[in-house]
Amino acid sequence: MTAATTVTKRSATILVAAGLIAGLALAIALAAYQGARADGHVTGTETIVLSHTEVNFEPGKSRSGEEVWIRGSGFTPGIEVEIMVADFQGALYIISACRWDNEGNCDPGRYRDGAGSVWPLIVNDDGAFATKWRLGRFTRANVGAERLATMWAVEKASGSFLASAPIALCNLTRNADLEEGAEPAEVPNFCSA
Amino acid sequence: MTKTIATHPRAVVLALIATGLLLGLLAGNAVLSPRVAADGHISGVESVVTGDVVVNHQLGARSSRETVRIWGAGFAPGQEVILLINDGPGTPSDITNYVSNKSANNTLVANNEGAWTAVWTLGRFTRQRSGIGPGDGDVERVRTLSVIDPGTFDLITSTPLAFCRVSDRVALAEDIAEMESDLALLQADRDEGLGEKPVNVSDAAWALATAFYPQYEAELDAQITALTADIESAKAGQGVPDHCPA
Repeated sequence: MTAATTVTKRSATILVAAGLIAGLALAIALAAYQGARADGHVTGTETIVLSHTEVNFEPGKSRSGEEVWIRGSGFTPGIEVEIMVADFQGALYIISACRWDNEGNCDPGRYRDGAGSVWPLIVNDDGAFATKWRLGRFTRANVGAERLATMWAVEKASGSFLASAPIALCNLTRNADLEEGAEPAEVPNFCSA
Repeated sequence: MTKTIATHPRAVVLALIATGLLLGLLAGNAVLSPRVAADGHISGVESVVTGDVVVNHQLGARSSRETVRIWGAGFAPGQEVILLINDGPGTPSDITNYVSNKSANNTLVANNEGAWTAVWTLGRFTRQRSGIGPGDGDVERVRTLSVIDPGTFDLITSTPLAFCRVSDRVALAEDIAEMESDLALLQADRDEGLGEKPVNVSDAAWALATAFYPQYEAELDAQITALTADIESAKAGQGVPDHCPA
């Protein structure tokens, strides 16, 4: 007696298992590829360090000359990184960008208005970078704000958040020129002065 | 006996392999994907820094006023954290109770920008029998300041702190300088000797002084030896660990 079937249970199991193994291998390969690409949230090796965490921020100043160095390491060589900080509304503001001229070209001459000193910010062969942020117009009303914030290093191509560093934008001069008998202004708990 | 003949059509085989592949990808993705926090931030990008990596550890101070400013960033807004440092024997010690800006739950809470800050006052941490004093007695250690999720006790991020006896070492250097000054005076006395007989000293008095001078000289030598030993002993305690500023 002969019975006909399309697939036996045994061969179906073998085929599904083979697919499962291939799928797992593919997932591992993809994960490894992501890690090598830039994936800080997988490797966790990217770091950024600021020259000083507490940065002088004079609210309302039309053009601040304050600068802070930002250095990164552990990044994938060759990727482009953008540095971001929350603006007065809490929306992320790219601080590492260049200032553009009217034709849309990078104009280093406008650095004093606030920009990153290096643009585009490309990670070097050692996985490191360094740039300087001049606050410039960020101190103007409706641009930046005095606050304790996270500075983010973001991969430009994917928008992935790779690393963070704390930054305290503090008006360090608020009580600098107090008149005699005047009450000093309250200092936020994240500022030293 | 029944003989089964399987035909294995190509479409069915491909469908089975594809099903397995899909299941494998799903399983792999579930295991290997980074965790995503509630606000969309992906964990693993949190950071913590301190105002200064070197902490002045005044060993034996009953309540040290030394402070360490600690900043955190990259956290999910509203996330609560606690801070741990290993004590002398290496047991994690929760220092959140001794920092500023803590919540009613004795935690630090990330603000809307994912950041938080606190100032840790060392207080009793410098006592001989608390903080990093106990154990082998070496308080000049590099320790890890760990930021911990109080719900899961998972380590979120960390930063090093180098405990160094900075002001103790300054005080010791001043003590040594004082002892060396005393030693120089003793040595000058010893080198000067009794000298010539002054004209206004009688012969009898000079004879007495000459008779007793060797005893005085021996006393000076003993003092010089003792002080030299004290200075050497103090200098031995001046050694600066590799992780501390000279």
